[in-house]
Amino acid sequence: MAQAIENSRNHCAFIGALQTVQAIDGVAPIVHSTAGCAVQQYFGGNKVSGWRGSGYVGGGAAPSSNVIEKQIVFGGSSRLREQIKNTVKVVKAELYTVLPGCATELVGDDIPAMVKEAQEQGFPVIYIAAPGFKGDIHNGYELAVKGIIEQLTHFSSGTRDKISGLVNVLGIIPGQDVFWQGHLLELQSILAKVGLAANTLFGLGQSIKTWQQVPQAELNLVFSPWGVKIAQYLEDKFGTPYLVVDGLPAGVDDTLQFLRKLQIRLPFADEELAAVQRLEEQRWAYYVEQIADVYYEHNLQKEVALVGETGLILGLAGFLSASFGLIPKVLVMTDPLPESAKAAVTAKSKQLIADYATEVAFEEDQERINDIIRRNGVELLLASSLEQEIAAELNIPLLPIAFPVTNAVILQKSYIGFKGAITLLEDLSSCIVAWREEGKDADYA
Amino acid sequence: MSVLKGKSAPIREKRLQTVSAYLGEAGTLLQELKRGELKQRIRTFSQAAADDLLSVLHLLNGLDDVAVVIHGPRGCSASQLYFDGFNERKNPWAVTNLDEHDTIMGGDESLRQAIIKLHNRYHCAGIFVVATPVVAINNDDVFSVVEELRQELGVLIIPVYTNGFKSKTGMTGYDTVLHAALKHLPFAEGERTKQGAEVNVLAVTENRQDMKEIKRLLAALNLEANFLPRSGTLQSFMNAVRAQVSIGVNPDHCDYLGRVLAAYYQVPFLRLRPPLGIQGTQAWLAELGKALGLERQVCALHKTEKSLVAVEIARYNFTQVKVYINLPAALAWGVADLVEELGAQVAGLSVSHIDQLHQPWLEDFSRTHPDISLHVAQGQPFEQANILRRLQPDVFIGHAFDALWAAKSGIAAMAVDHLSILGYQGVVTVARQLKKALANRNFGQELQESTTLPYQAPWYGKNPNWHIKLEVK
Repeated sequence: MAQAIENSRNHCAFIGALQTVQAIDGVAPIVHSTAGCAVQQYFGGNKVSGWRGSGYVGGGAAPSSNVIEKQIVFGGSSRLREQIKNTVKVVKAELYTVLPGCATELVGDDIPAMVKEAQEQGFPVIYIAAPGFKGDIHNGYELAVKGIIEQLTHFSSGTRDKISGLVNVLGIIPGQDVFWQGHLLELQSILAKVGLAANTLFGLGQSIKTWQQVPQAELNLVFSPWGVKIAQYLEDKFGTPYLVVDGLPAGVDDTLQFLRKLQIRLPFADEELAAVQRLEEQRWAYYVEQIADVYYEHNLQKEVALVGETGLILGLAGFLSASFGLIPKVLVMTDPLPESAKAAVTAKSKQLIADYATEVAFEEDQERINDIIRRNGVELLLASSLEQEIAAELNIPLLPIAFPVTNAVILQKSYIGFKGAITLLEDLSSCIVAWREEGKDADYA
Repeated sequence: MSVLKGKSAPIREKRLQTVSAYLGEAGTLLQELKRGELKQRIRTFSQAAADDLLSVLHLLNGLDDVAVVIHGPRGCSASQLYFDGFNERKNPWAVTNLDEHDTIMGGDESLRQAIIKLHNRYHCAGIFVVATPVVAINNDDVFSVVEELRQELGVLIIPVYTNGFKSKTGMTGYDTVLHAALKHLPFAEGERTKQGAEVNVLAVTENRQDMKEIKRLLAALNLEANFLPRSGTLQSFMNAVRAQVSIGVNPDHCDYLGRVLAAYYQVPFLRLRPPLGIQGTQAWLAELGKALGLERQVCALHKTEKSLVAVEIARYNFTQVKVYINLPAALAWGVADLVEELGAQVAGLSVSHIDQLHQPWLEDFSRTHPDISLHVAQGQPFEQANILRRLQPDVFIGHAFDALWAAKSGIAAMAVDHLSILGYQGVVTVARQLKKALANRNFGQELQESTTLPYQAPWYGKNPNWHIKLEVK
C-alpha cells in the first residue's frame, strides 16, 4: 500500500516520461490520457523547475488525446488511432512517442496495436508504458530512456561499432534536476578536456542522431542511482561497460578524482589530466583568495542541511565540507531510493567531518523533512522552494538547489564540476549576505 | 432548484449546453442557442487542455484555511506546486500516492492516513478530498472514509467528485467544488437575517492584482464586501447567505455559486459582464449601486475615475492597431470592448467555451462584428497558429499559455496572467502594456528567428477548423 505524502515533489511516472521525452530535440509526445495530464506536467513540472520553458512542442502544444467518458466506457483505442494519424500530419517531428496515462491503461486500450499499426505505415512512432500509477517520476525517466533506446533500433539499421572516446551520461533527470542543462554542459566540457566526447542525450546540441549513437559509446557514466538500471540494460544489450559515480562531482578535488577513476576505465594520457589539474587548481586558488574576506566577515562557515536528489546532495555535501569548511549536519535524500541503495549512501555520508555526525535521511514527506531540519538546528538550508516555510520558521537563509524551484529562473547554471562549484560559492555566499543585509539576522544565533 | 441533492454538479454540457470546440460564424452558434440545441463538437487532433481536477485545485488554492487531499497517483497533485505560489498563505496538502496495487485493491487506507495527518497537524476549518480519474474509474468508495472520519475527528471533510473525463471543459471543476462546499457546509436551515456583509463578491480565478482593484473600488463606495471563494474562507460561504446581493466578477466561473445562493438562500445574483473597460466597469458598478441604493455614489466614483483614466490614456494612440484576443469567454468580450475603447480594432477572438450564458453577448458580437469568425478552444495552439497566419494581427492578448505561441508566430504578444486588467486601473494597465509590446518587438523577433513552430507546412494550407467535427452520439 502506498503512503500519503505531504507536499509531494516526486510526481508520477507519466510526468517523468513526458518531461524526459520533451528534453530531446525533434521528439514529439503523443499523450493518450484524460485532459489535464499534460497540463499537470507543464504547470507542476516545467514551470516550477526554475521556469523551464515549453520548448519545441511541450506545454500547451503537447499533442494529447484528451479522452472523454465514452472512450473510458467503450475504450479509447480508436481515439488513439485517430490522434496518432493526425499528429503525424499536423506536427513535425523525427520521432513520436505515445505516452498513456492512468485512465487509458486502466481501461485496457490496446496501445501497442495502435503504435504497431502506425509503424507499419512507415511512421516513426514508439510507445512508453509509464502510466502514473506505475511509479514516480524517476521510474518514468528510467522507462522513457530505456524505451527510446530499445525502440529506436526499429528505425535505424545504424552501426553499433564503438566510437573511440564516446561516453553516455546517465542519471541526470531533465527537470527533476533543476540544473540538468547546466550540469550536462559542465560534464561535457570536463570530459572534452581529457579528449572524451560526452553524449549527454538531452538539451542543447542533442538530437535523435545522438540517441542512435548510444550503443556506440565505449562507456556509460552513471551519476545517480536512477541511471543504474539503464546502464545495466545497455551492458546486457550492447556490451557497454558502465561506471557509477557516487554523486555529481563538484570542486577541483572531486572532479579530478572522478577523472582519475574514469582514466582507469577509459585510458587517456596522464599529461592531459595533469594539464587540467594545473589549470583548475590555479583557478580555484584564485577564487579562494577572492572569497576569503566575505567568508570571515559574514561567517560563511555554517551548519547546513541539504535537501534534494541523492546524486546532487552527495556531490555538494562533499565539496562544501571538504573545500569550503561547511558542516553538513543533515542530508535529506528526497528521491525514493530502493532500500538496497540506501545503506551505501548512508555509509558514505554520515561522517563527513570529524566531531560532527551527519544525519542522513531518506524522506519525501514535508512534515517529516521539516521535523528533521528543525531538530538539527541548522544555520543554512540548501533545498527546494518547498523548504521556504521551514526556513522562515527557523529564520535561516535558503539557497534553492532542488526541485521545485519557483523563485528563480534557471537556464544554464550549474553547481558541479570545476566552474559550477565556483558558481555555487557565489550564490551561496550572496544568499547569506543578502539575507544579512535585509536585516533578517537580528535574532540569529 | 434541488440541485444540491445530487452527488455532484451536473457537467457544463448538460447544465448550459457548453461547447468547447468551434470555429466559424458566431451567428451559427447563436441560431443553435436560440433553438436550444447547441451541438457538441469534438476534435480529431488535440493538444493539452485542462480538466476539472485542475480547476478544482486552482479554486481551492484561493480559499484560505482549508487543507486539500488529492486522492490519486502522485502526478495528480503536480500543479499544486505551481498554484501554491499564487497565494500569500499556502494551504496544506497531501497526495494519497495511489500505486498499481491500490488501483486494484483501492486506496482507502492511504486516504484515511492523509486526512488524519493533515488534520492533526494543521487543524484547518475544513478538509477537501479531491477525487481523480483513477478513483473515478475504479469507483472507489470515498464517501465512507469521509463519513467515518468526520465523526472520528469531528472536522468538516468535503468530498469533491472530480473525474477528468465526464466533461470536455475543465471549467466544470469550478461547479464541482462549489457544489461540494455548498452541499456539505453546515448552513442552518432557513437562517437568513440582514446582518451580513452587504454584498458577496464572487471571484474564482481572478489574480491578486485584479482582486486589489475590485477591493479598491468597493472600498471607495464604503461597501463591506464578502469575498468568496477567492481570498475568502469557509466562513465566507456561511456569511454569504446573509448578504443582500451577490455580484460575480467573471460570470462564467462563479455562475453556479451565484445561482445556488439565489435559489437556496434568496440572495439575488447579479450576473453581469466582468468590469472591463471604462463602460464595462461603469455598468458593473451601476448595477451593484442600483441593487444597494448607491446610485449617486457610483455616479460620483465613475466621474472621478473616468477623468483620471482619460488623462492617463490620452497619451496613447492605437487607431489602426489590430488586436487578436484569446481569453476565457467573458474576459475575451470584455477585453474586446476595452481595446475598442482605446481606439484599436478587434481582428479575431478565441474563447474558452460558449454556452447559454453567452447568448446576449453572442447576439451583440455577431451584430457588431459580422466579419469576425469566432474560435472556441482551450489551448489548441495549432489552430491558433493557422488562424494567426491568415489574420496577421498587430498584437495578441491572452494568457501566457497561448501568448507564447503567438509570439513564436511573430506577433507582438501581451500576457495578462499577472496583470490587473479589471476596473478603471485595468484600462491604464492594458494601454501601457500594449504600447510597450508594439513599440519594441525585438525580443519577439529574436524568438521568431530562433525557433520554429512545430507544425507541418500542409497544416497551414488547411482550414483551421479541419479537426473540429460534430460529435456523433
